[in-house]
Amino acid sequence: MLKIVGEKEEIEKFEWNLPKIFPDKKVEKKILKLWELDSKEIEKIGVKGYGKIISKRIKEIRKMKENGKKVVGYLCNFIPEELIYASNCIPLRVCCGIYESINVAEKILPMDVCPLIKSSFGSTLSKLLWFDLCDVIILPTSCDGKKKLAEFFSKFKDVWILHLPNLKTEDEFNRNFLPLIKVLKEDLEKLSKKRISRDELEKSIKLFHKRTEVFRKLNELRKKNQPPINGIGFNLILFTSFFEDVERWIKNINLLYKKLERKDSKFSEYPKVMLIGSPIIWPNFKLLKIVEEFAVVVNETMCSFEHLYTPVEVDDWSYEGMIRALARKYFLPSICPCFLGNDIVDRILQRIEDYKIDGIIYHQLKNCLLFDMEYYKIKFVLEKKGTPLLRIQTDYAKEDVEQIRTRVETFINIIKGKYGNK
Amino acid sequence: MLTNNNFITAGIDVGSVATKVVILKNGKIVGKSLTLTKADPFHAATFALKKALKEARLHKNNINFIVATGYGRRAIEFANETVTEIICNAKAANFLGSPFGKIGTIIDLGGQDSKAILLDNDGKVERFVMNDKCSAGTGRFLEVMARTLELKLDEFGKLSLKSKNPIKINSTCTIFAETEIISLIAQKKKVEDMIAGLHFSIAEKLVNLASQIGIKDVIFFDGGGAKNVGIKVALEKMLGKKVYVPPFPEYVVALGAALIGVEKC
Repeated sequence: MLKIVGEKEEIEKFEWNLPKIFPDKKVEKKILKLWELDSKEIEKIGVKGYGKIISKRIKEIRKMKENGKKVVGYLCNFIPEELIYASNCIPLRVCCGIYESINVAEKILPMDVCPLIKSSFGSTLSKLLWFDLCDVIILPTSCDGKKKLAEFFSKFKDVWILHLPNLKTEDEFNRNFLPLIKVLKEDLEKLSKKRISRDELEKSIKLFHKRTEVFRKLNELRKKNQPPINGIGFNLILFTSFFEDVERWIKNINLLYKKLERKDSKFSEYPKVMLIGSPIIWPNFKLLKIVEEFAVVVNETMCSFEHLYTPVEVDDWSYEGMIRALARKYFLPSICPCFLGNDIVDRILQRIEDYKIDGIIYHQLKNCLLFDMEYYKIKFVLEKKGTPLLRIQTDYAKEDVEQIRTRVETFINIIKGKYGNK
Repeated sequence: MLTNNNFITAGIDVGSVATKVVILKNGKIVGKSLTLTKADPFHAATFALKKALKEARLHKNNINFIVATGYGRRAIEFANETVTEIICNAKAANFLGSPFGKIGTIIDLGGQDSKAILLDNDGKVERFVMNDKCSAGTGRFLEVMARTLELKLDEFGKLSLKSKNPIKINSTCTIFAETEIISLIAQKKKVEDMIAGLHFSIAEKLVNLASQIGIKDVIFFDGGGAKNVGIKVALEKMLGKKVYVPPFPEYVVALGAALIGVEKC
């Protein structure tokens, strides 16, 4: 089923079908094993239990589904998780970083599609991990690829398309985004067969607010001269927010924070790098891992976790007021390049100061026109500011690791002033 | 001081086509050698080092510091340190200098890649750009064309200078350019005119690459591809500037590695 949020008519009147794709248990095992290995980085900090967190959560979600709970999946970060949670559904972000799923997707999708889209589609098709557990998938029209992807997803999932305006103005918000979020709320209530009460909504907003608080606390630690956690560790922890139960996540991160607060840093010698551009999503940590061979990543201004940074600012705790505040948080501060006149540049400049950034690396996923075209103005501004900038254009494949390493290593050496540079 | 010391250092540049070794003593090259990397960087480095040591009449134990660079640098376990080829190239270019003045932009034409480096006023790397994805702007391009025309690669450059009417090659891709050459041969076009056109093509690619980071006087042209006088002349014609090719351009990066070795002693 495919429908646009806010519209009555169902789309796609004619018949066509997808080929049958069989789940690959080998790939699933491989990914779970990789997680156990990578998550040791978190256990080093002193918080145990991360190794099995994925398998445990998948089992838990399956059980909840058996008991009637609905799972609402979504791509990007425009969908208010608070609403999904308040409607007693399970929010699940299905943006995917798995390379092996791309092969599967390419049986149906063309080659020249962004790897993130192919990976998310392929993982859902091959029922990998949690990707197939959604009852509904909400797709924002943040790019042409995602928009058209809706047709494909709708062949085996219920898809709701959230139409995004091109400009982030108050006017567009009031006319074209807020009304959609109100309809989305009603659609969620229909799905879960339960109305969201005013108290439940308030409770949900306050809970997710705690998530923003702990995320910001963690980020503050990275501003230190000697950050106690590196980019890999940080992004691993944050990745679990895609699927983990939010209350448990908050508890775990608070625990982690307590350990990190007192921790001695081992990353003091390294230059501080900020990553911007296309999102880096586990297990596609290729660029992140290479960068941290030579530097420490102290900030990512990316849509992977940027939404965790902005609080929901409620000044009017009426039902209407809360919905409005929620919708605002997910729209106005967005850094997605799909918006014309995107103001990410201001945020980047501020963070260069706040985190004492030595250099910036622009992660450019192949076949993404939006991030590709966005680069020019970012380069312009950073050249003026004098902050060193390196663009790395890549995808999920492993074949360009050496080429990336040479570029990153040279870039960091230039910044570091080694070998008589600078 | 790079020239006033008793240190002996070795720079090993493991390129995707060839491995080059330079042995430096008191700021002078006392031994150098080149061997094909093929599929075994470690073996190529060991072999080339042995040859260079023989020329220098030295033993491996005499070397105070070994720096490995290039694509295969991480495979050289006996190196004391690894440095990227861009840093090494800048180091050497700065050391060698040019008769025309301070070096601004380095263009490196390798067997399977090409690079452009912009130096700041202190001779340090300010910006760089690499082409390691498309063979059309690399030594491989000319290699393929020489084979198609059944000529030796070292005749290529000199022959291109004989042309009075270069033929513009339209294809930007090595494979399609080869097809274009074959059709020009069938049309009985002059060999030197075709070759001049090919040199123009590759110079164009290099200029496009270098433009991304800035073309600043003096232009320093190195890498194995710089031995081709036809490309040097084509570059000069395109840019309207003099282009300096150092002696032994294919050894510049290895020299840079050896110079960095001196700093580490």
